[in-house]
Amino acid sequence: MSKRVLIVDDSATIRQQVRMALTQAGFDVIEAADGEDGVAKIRSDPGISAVICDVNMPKKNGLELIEEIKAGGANSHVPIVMLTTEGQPALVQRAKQAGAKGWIVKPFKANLLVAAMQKLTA
Amino acid sequence: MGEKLPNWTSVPSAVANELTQESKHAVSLVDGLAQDATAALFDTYGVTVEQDGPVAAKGLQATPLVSIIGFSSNALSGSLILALPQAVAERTLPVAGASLADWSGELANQLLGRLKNQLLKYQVVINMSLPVVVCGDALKLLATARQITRYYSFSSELGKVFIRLDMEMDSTLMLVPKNDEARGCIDEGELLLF
Repeated sequence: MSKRVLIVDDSATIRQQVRMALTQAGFDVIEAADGEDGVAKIRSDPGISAVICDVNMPKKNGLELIEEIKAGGANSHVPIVMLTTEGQPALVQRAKQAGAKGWIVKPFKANLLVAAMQKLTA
Repeated sequence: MGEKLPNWTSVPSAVANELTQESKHAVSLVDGLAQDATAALFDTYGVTVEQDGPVAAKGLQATPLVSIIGFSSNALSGSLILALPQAVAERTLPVAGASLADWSGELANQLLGRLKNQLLKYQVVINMSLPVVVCGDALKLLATARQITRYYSFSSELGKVFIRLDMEMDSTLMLVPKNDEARGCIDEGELLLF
């Protein structure tokens, strides 16, 4: 059975780009367009094996998403990797302290993203 | 959407004479960072752009795709406008069939992200807003009330790319590079696993 990855990003193009990279590697991909929808999908789908999440998004940003998910509740264990234009060390540290498993600065390399997902969902 | 003939809008140049020496230096530095970030961004997506025209150009050619993204901090705030011809947006699309409007907004997001990451090296941290995209025919940009306005024009084989930076800058802002030990910004394309 394919491992399911949730991509949370307000850019449809980025979501499509991630979908294309991961489905070619055998992953099942679902999408959320903002942080609120991302939290809702994580909480409601126990089949999600990993999350790739933007930082700057409407309604709820990625750092708020990870802090809320990792605080407890359904699927709080799911590994989350941030995919963002941000390269600021303080933000990376905040995500790491919240429980993120990784940080990628856009534009991403598909092979690195796939390798990261394979490692985190193994 | 075909590429339209340019519609020039005269706007006032930056209020350069009222800036302090420190501010003029900072503006000059931001010019270089913005120009380098633009060239690097489009190169990443397969389009070579070269700057043309004076930095203090007074007009902005209308293009069908205009993305606007804001930024703020105590010392530097404003907005970045990215104006693209359709052909450049299409050529840089990472996924066939994706929305040009959405992609234009993402390009503006990535461009400001690159500028932000470079400013980190000068101990300036800006907060980024979300991009807004306007698609239209013969769009015109009107004059801005901002303290500083900078125009950058780039040529490519697919048409011209325009950037406009509108900024408010604290008069005491001095862009001093961090030493190597203090640098910690993560580069574009880099992946960290914890």
